Amino acid sequence: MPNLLAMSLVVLAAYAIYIAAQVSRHASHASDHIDGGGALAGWTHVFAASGALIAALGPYDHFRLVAVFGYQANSLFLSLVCLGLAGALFQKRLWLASRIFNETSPGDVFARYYQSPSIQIYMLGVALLFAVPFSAYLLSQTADLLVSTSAGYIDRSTAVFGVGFVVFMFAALGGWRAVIYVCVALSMLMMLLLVLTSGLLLTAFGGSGFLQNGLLVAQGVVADAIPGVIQFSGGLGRAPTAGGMWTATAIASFCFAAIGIALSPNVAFHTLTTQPKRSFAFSQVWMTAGLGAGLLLCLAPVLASQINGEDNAAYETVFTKLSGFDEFAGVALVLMLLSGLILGLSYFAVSGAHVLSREIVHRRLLPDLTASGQRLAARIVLALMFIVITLLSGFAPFIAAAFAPLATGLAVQLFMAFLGLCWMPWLSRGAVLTGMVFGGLVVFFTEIPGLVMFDQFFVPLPWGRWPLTVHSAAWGLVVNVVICLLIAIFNRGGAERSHRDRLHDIFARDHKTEFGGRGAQGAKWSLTLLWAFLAIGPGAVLGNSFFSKPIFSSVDVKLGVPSLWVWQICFWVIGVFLTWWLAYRTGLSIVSTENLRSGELSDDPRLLGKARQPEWMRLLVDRLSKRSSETR
Amino acid sequence: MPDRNASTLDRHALVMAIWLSFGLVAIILFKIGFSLASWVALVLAFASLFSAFIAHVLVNIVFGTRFSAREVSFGLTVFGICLLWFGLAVLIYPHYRSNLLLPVAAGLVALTSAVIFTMMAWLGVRGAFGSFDVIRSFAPRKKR
Repeated sequence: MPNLLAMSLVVLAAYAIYIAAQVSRHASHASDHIDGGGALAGWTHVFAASGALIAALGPYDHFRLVAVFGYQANSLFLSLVCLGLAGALFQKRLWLASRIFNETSPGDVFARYYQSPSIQIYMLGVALLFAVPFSAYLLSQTADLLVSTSAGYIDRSTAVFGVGFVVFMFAALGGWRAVIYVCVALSMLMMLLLVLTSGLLLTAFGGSGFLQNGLLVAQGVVADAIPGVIQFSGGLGRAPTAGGMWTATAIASFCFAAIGIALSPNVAFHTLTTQPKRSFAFSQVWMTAGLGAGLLLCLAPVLASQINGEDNAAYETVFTKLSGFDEFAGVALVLMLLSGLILGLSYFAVSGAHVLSREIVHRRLLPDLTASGQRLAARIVLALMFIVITLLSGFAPFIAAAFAPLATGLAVQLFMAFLGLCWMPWLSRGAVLTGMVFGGLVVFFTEIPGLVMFDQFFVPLPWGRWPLTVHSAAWGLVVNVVICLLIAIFNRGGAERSHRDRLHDIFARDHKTEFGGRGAQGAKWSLTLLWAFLAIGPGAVLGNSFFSKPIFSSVDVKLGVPSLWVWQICFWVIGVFLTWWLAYRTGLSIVSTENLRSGELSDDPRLLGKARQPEWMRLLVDRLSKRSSETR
Repeated sequence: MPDRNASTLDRHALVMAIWLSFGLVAIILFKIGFSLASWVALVLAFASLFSAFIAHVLVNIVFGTRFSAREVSFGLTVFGICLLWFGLAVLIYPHYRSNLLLPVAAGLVALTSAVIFTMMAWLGVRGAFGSFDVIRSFAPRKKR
C-alpha cells in the first residue's frame, strides 16, 4: 500500500515538474515568470481560483468538524456561496481598477487609489500570513496525513521536506503560470475524487446508515440541529458551549471570516493576472457557489460518518476500511485530501512570494533589476519563503496552527478598503486605515496568539477565542465598520476625495453597472440580506425542524434525512440563483474591455518609476551592495 | 510571452489536467472493477474515459485545433495495449469471459465509436475513411 501511495505521489510530482518545464521553455520575459504576463486564460481562473477558495476553506478540517459537530458544522459550507457573492461584488472592479492604474499587484492598486503606502504594508502583511503560517499549516496537515496513512513508511520530516521541495521546484521552474496550471489539475482531481470516495463509501460500506442512525458526533453535541442563535459563553477555552459551538451567530460570523479568503491579496493577485471575460462569473456562480458548495454540502456528511473527528489520525480508520475494500480506493481518499492541501499550499505560498517580490524587491528595493535579475530575485524570495514554511511545519507546527487563523481574520478587515475602491468613493483613506488597524487589533486579541501573549505577559483576558461564539474576524469587522463610518462622516471631501473620484468617474462613464429600477435594485439587496438571514444567520435555526415538524401541520413528517440538511440544500440552491442574478444578470462579474482605456490613470508622477524607492531604502541598498569607496 | 505560445501552452495544460484527473479516476475504477468483478465500476470507468474524451474534443473546438500527432499516437498505443491485454486475459482467465467480457467489450466499442463519430464530424465520411487508407499513402506520387 505505501508503495502505491508513493507511486501516485511521484506521478503527481512528475506531472507538476513536466508542466513547469514546458512553461519555462516558453517564458521569455520576467513578467511571464512572476505573473504569467498578466494574461492567464479565463478558464484557469474558473478552476484554479475556485479550487483555491475551497482548499483555503479546508475540506480536511471541515470533514472532521462535521464528524464532531454534525449538521450544524455542515452549514459552514454555505460560506462558499458567500465567497461567490463577495467575488461578484469586488473582483470585476478590482480588475478594471488595476488596468486603469496600469498595475498588476493588488497592493499597488490600493496604494494608488488611497495614496497610501500604509494600506500596501497592511496588505503585504496579510499576504505573508497566507503565504507563511497558513501554507505551513497546510503542509503540516499534508505531512500528518501521509504519516498516518503510510503505516510509518513515510516519516513526518520526509513528508514535510519532500512535499515542500517538490512544490518549490515546480514553482521556481515554471513560475506563476505553471502553478496555476497545476492548481487546475489538482482542483479537478479533488472534486472528482471527492465524488468517487463518497460514492464508494455509500455503496460499498452502506454509508447511508448515518441517515437512519444519525452522525456519531462528540458527547453533548446536538447532531442534527443548530444549538440556538447565540450562546453567551466566554469563548473557546474559557467556557463550554451547550449542544455544540456552531450557533447561528457562529455560522454567520464564520461565513464573514471566510470572505477574507476572497479578499486576500493572494487571490486578488490571481484576479489581476487573469484575462477575464465571463470567467469571473463562471467561477463565482457555477464552480464556487455551485459545484464546490453543493458537493461539499451533500457529500461531507457521508465522509464524516466514517471518521472520528476527535482523533488526531482521523482519516486512518476510513483509509484502512477503504484499503481493505481495494487498495486503490484507499489511495483515492488520500489523493483527494492531498490535492486540496497541496493546491492551497502552492497557490498561497507562491502568490505571496510573487506579491512580495513584485511590490518590495522590484519596486522599492532593487528597481533597476534586469529581466533575468527580476526572475532570479523572485526565485530567491520563493526559496526563502519555502525554507521558512518547511521549517515551521517541520519543527513548530503549533506556531503555524496558531497564526494561520489570523490570515483570514485580518484579510476580512480589508472589506471596507475594497468597498471604497469598488463602490464608495466617500470612504476616505483615514477612515479605512483606522478601521482596519482597530479591526485587526480586535482580531488579534480574540485569536490564539493575542490571547496567549496577553495571558503570558500581562493578566488573563476575561474572554477566550471567539467570545459569544462569534468568530474573531466578525468582531474585528464590526469594530472596523463602525470606526470607518464614523470617521468617513467627517472627512468625506477634500483634495483626497477628488483623486478617488477620478477612478469612480471612469467606472460611471465606461463601466456602469445596471442595477435596474428602484424596485429591482431593492429586490437584489433585500433578497441577498434575506438569504443571508435565513441561510447562515439567525433564521437558520428555523431549519432545525422546518421540514420534519411543519408549522402548518400538527403531523410530524418522516423525511429520512435531517430537516437541517434539507434546509441547507434548499438555501444552497437559492444562493446559487442569487449569485447568478448578481454576477450574470446584473453584470457585476461580466468584464467588457470595449470601453477600457488601459493606463488611463497611470500618469501620477508621485508614484512612477524610481520615485517609488524611498530615499532611506536607496541608501541602505547602496551601503550594502557597494564598496565604501564607491558610496563616498 | 507571444499569444500563440500562450495559447499552445493553455491547450496543452488543459488537456493534461483533464486526462490526469479523469484518467486517474478511471484507473482506480478499472482496478476496483477488475478485482471485484464489478460491472458498475467498469461502466463508470469507461464513463470517466468517455467524459475525458468529450472534454478533449471540446477543448479542441474552443482552441480551434485538432488532436496532435503525439496525442493520436499515444492514444492509439494505449488503446491497442489495453485491447491486446484484455483479449489475452479473456483467453487465459475464464472468469473474465463470464463476468467482464460484456461491460469491457461494450466500453471499448463505445470508445471506438466515439472516436469514429468525432472523425466523421470533423473530416466527413470520405475524410475519415481516407485517414485509414494506408494503401493510398504507399502509392507513387503524381508528377506535376
